Amino acid sequence: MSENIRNLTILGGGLDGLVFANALRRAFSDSLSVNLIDQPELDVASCITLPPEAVGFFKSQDVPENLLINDHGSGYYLATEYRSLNGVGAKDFFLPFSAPGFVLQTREFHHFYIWAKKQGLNRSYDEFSLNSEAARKKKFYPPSEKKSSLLSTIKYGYVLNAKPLTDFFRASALNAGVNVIEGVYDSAVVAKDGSVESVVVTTNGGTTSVSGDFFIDCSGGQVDLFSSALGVPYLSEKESLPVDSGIRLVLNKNSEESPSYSVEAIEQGWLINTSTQNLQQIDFIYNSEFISESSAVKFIGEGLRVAPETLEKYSLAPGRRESFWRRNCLCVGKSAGNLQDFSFSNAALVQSAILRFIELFPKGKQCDEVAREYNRITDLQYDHVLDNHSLLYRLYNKDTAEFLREGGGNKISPRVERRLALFKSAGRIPFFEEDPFSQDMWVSLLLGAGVIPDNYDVLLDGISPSWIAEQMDKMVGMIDSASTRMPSFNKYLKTL
Amino acid sequence: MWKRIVIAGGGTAGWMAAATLSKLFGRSGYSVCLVESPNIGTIGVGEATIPPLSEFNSSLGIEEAEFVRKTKGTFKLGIEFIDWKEKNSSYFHAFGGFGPVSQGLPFYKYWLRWQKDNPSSDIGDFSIAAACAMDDRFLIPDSGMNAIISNLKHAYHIDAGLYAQFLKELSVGRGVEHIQGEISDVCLNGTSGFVEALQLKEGTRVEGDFFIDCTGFRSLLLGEALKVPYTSWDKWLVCDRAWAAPSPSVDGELKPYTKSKAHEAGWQWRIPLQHRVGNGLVYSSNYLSDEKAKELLVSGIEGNPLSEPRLIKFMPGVREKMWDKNCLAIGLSSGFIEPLESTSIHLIQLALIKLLQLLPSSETNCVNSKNFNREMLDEITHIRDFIIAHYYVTNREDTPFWKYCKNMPIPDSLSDKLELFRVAGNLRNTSNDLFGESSWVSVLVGQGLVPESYLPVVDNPSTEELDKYMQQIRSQIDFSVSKVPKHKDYIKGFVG
Repeated sequence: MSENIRNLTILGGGLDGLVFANALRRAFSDSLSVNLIDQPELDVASCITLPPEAVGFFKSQDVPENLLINDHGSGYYLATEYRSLNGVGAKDFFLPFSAPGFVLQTREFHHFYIWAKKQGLNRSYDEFSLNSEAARKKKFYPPSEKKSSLLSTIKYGYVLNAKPLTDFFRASALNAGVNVIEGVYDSAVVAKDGSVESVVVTTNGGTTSVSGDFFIDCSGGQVDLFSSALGVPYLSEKESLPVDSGIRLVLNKNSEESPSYSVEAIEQGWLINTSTQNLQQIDFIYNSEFISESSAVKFIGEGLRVAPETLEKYSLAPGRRESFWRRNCLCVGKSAGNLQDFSFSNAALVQSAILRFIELFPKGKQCDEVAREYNRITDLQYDHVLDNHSLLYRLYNKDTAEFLREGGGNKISPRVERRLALFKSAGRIPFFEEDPFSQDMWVSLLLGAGVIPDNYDVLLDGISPSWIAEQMDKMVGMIDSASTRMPSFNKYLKTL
Repeated sequence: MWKRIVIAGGGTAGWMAAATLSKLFGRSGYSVCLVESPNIGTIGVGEATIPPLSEFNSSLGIEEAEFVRKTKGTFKLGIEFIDWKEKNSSYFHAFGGFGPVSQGLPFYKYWLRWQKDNPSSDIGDFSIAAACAMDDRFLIPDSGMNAIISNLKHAYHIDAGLYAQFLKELSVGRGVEHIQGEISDVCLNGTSGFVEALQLKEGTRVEGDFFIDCTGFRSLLLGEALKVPYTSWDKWLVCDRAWAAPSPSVDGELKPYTKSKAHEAGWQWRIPLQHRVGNGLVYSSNYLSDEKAKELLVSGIEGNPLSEPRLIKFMPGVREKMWDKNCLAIGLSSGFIEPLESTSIHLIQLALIKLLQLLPSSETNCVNSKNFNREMLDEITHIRDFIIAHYYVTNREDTPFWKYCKNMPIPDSLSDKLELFRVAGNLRNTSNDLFGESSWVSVLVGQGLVPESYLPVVDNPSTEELDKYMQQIRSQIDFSVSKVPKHKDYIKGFVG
């Protein structure tokens, strides 16, 4: 067996590389020395959304929650708000992290909802979700430890303030003995067997060569390691996610409003609104084949009543790498893929990649079996996130969206078609391995967007209709009163 | 709507189907009938089960004590594999895992490291189930018991004929129509090719909307009438026959586990029931004559067989589709892997749960059946790979049979998994694999595949800390075993 990995170099460029460097030192302490090429960050986002899995991730990295919330001014969020997905004037809905309703007589709740819809129920699926109702009322309360309490069903993710978090991880990296090199990647020296021997970095003092047993590209897409040095292509997914540009506005927040996350479908593209305690970030995502950059800037500047100079323009390349671990190199973050920050963010994929890499970290410098396993799982995750996000385009009412109408709609995979077909015919979501979304989240998304299946669980027919109706009314009442009693996020903070 | 469901065949599969579908009564006019020939015997193999059967029973409202009483059942903590790795060796595959999860990592990952310094260590020493089994002890843990004992998971050894009888009474009592008669013809619709009716020898014609083929290996509907081809797995699973014979209970203690003892061209089972012992010798007809196999069975039984041994011929494999048109095959008619890990009854149960979720109508049949076939094939493929691993991963090469098994080509899905484990000590964990990580580890390590390396991520505790940790778990197990009653006494109290 070849010698172990003792020396690892991260091509950084912001938060991802810093988090990765910290996690590696934490897991392997002094048996692994870590270099980090700390390049200037591109397309800096101010607010980062993360699903509930991030709570466990930060815990495992000993990052206390009160540091994120109290010191950094980050926020919690309970559900993603989707606006106008079914066309202008259509009802908005929330995609909650926890399953709505309660299981009744061992049958899943959403079948009762489908059943009730067939009886003419005039309630949204949101009304059965404490997460969604709290999000709608802009309330927050952490999950209760008491299993019997309705509040124990709450599940939250974070909207993080990127700047203080990056500073925190930079300080923590230095503290953990990561060798931080300020510089910019220039090129890689590739050995005969195709593995990377060293990278050439331009620093203030000239150029320097950094060698290593293993290299990780966390540069946010600014480094060309995988394409040119390793010959691993980046596969475009623009047919599935037909956008290529973004415009961002970041504002200081004055309102008392709770942190939130919303995705709004508009005629020209998507408006994504993310806010923490003190910042608000608005991203307009569009397809430059239908709107020029100048008209997009004009449209957004006028719409938000801000000067064009305050808007940051960036390009998007929806897609993913053909392979994520090749030889002695790994890519994560935007170097690995960008499937948009919709219901699952790029940041969440990075956290999952870090944990997976550490778990699979090989003995021996090259381990094809481990790389194959890493790639297999990562590929499946990207498949499912792509499916989920391309489904959002598909659910979006094409007739009102110019950029979708003119492109003839977006492409969806046979997997999404199967999901839609089985949901329509049986109210079920087929099982797929390594799906980052729970079945409940797929159900919430489809029901929220108004896709009502033709059939429901056949065993419901034996249950008394008046009993079901009574149970459902009770649920709505409980959820309404529980969410009403919860404090607003800001009030909750004050109680701490 | 499709309302009349016809079950063809009255063995274990047929009556399990009838009992499950009797839940539909009182719901929008479903009716279920079962056609059974009094002249055709049932195979009735499958006397050993795996843990999920208790969930199935409780979903039918069957009390565990009544079930054990009626089926003359005993409890099963796992399987002892004798002479599989090499002659004069044995290991235990227990239900329930090994020691505790630590730092988010399963116990076996730490054991793989510890084993490097303690090469004679047996991972089975860290299983409470194995410890109880070897001392003929058993109990069903309740919530007040310590964490170690709570790890005990059980299945049953049952008289499958009595189980079918029990379910028959239950089904008929709940309104399933029981028609006695021999099927002489399966009538198909001339244009659609769908099954329209079963023609019985006595002249009766049993019509229905949806048909469940439980006719055993003959597969009268799916195989013969609908001509769905059979995919044979005989190049990987070479055993194709079994002699089965009961023998009297002779041991003073009742063993709470199945024994599987490898022989020159297959293996022999021993399944203890309350009133007798089930025995069977599984072998490959390519490597062993029927006569010789019969002698081998009889010589391996304690005491004399209670009846003349019965020969069962089979071919491991599956139908290309288990659900075609308006016909679903359940049990042996849909395929058969082999009895090694007692999965036959489980596959019946799994198919029935899925059927209830996907009960078709003429509109949804196509989508639902596609999904059913895909999900079932996934599940069965995982089980198939697990069984193949028992034959392929071995040190035995002492007979032509074992020589073949050790050197046969195996499916890619399995070879990838074995390579990853061999090289890196990592198990590809797929969430829809019936056999979880601890089952795979038990069997792979038990069969002699000890990984070359372990994961660097478990390098953290010092050698002394790890020694102490392992010692602690061992003594907790020793302490806990003494608190568990003898299986024989426990059953007496349990059935009353």
